[in-house]
Amino acid sequence: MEHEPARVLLIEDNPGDADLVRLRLVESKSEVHVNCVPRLADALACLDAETPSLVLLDLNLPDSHGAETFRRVMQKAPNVPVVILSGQDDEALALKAVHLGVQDYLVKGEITSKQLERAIRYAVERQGLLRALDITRKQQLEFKNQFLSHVSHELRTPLTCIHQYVTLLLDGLAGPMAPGQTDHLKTVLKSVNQLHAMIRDLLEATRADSGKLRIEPRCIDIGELIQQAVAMIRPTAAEKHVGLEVGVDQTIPLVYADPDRTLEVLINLIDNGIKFTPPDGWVIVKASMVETDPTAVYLSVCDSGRGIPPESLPQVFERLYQDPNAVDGNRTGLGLGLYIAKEIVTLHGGRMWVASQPGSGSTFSFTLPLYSMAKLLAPVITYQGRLRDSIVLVRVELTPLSKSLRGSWKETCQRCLERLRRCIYVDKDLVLPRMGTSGPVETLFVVASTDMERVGIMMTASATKSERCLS
Amino acid sequence: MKASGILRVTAEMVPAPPAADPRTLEQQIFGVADYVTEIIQQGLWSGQHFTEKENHKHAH
Repeated sequence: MEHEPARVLLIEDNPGDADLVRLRLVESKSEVHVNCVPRLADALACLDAETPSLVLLDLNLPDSHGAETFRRVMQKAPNVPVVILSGQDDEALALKAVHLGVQDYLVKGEITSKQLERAIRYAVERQGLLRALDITRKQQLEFKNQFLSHVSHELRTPLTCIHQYVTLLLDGLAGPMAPGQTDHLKTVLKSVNQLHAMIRDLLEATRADSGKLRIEPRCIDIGELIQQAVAMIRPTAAEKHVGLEVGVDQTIPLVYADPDRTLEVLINLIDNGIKFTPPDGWVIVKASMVETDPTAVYLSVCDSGRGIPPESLPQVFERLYQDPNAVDGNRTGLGLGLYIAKEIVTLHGGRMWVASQPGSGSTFSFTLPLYSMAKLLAPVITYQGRLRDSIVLVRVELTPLSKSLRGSWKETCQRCLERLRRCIYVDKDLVLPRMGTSGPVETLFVVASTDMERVGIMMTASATKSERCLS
Repeated sequence: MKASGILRVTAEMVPAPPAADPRTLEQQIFGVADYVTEIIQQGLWSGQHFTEKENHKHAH
C-alpha cells in the first residue's frame, strides 16, 4: 500500500524561520506537504477547512502570544498532534505546553533535519496511540455501565420477591409468628431495604456516568418540598434523638426544578446529617435567597456532627467515597449518594459544595434556579435579536368525565402531554411547566411563535393524537 | 368506545409591541413573560373549566 505523505500546518510568522523548517524537511527527505500560515487566525481557519497530520507551532505570533496560542490551537483541533517551535527564552513555556497535551517541542536554531523528521513521526504515532487508548477507555466505560445496569436490574427482581414475602410473613398473612421470629424478619426487611437502596444508587450512578440521568423541571414551592422531606425523615431523627429544624425564607419565589429529584437530594443530605450526628445533636435545613445571584435559591443542610477533616473535603462528592472514620453502623451505603446528589444539582444548572470543621459539624449547600418565565420564553420568542412577529398562547384543558376514572387520570394526562410535545416545533414552541392545578382539570399552556393558522394545524394534530389517550 | 375525558383547546394572540417600541429586547421579553404569566394565572385560578354538569352534557 502506498504511504500517504504527512500534511503539516506550519504556523510561523517569521519567513526566515519558516524557510529553515522547510529546508530541514527537504534535507530529511520526508514525504511531507507543508502549508505555512503567519497568523493564528489564518491557522484556525485552515483547521476549520482541513485536518492536518500535525501542527508545527510558533508560540509568538502577531495575533497571539504564549500559552494562549497553543490553547486555542488545541481547542480547535484536539485530535491533531502539536509540536512547538520555541525560542531559547521560552523553553520553559514550551515544556509547560507539553504537560498540557502538546506532543513535543523543538528549540529554534538547534533544529536538525533528523530531529525534525523524528519529532514529526513520533508525534503523529503518539497521538494515534492516545486516540486508540481513549477509544478503548470509552468502550470499557460503556461496557462497565451496561454491565452494572444489567446486574442491578437482575438483582432487583429476586429482591422484590424477598421483600414481598417477608412483608407477607410480618403482616401475619401466612399465619401467626412468634415474637422472636418477628424480630428476625424485621432485621431481614431492614437489610433488604438497604440492598434496594444500594442497587438504586448503583443504577443512578451508572445513569449519571453515561449522561442518561434525566430531570423534568417544573415550578415548585421549595418550602413545601423541604417540609415534605423533613416529614419523611423525622422518624429516623427521632429514633436517634437528633433534633431536626427547618428555616425557610417565606419570600422565596417559585423554583424551577424537578420535585422528585430535589426531594431525593434533600433526603440524602438530611439523612447523612442525621447519620453523622450523635444523639442530642441537631440538623437544620435552610432555604434563602442568594444575595449575589437573584436568579437562584440557596439551600443548606447543617449538622452538629463530628465534621469532615480538611484533607477529605475534596473527595466527599466523589463516587464510592466513604468516611474513613465512620463506624460500621454508619456505613450503610455504597458511597454514591453525594455523587448522585451533586450530579442532580448540576443538571439543574446549580452547584453543590460543603464546608466543615472537624468537631464543629458540616454544612452541605446547593443552589437551584428560580423560575423565570422570561428566561424560558426568550429562546422561542426571539429570532435574530428581536421578538418574533407573531406569538400565540395556547391553552389545552383536559377534564375527566367521571370521578371513577381519576385513578388513571394522571397517567392519561401525562400521555396527552407527551402527544402534545410531539406536535410542536422545539425551536419555536414551548410547553410551559405546570404552575398549579385547579381540581382534577389538567391545564397545559403552550407558547407558540407562529401565526394562528399553524397553531390551528398544530392543535388539530395534538387533539387527534390526544383523543386516542382519552378514549 | 367510551371517552374518559374532554379535551378543550383555545388560543389567543399575545399583543405585539408597537413597531417603534423604544424598549430594549430584554424589556420586550419581560413584557411578553408578564402578559403570559398573568393570563395563565387568570386561567388557572378563575375556575375556567368545565363543571360537572357540562361534563355530563359532553359525555352524552
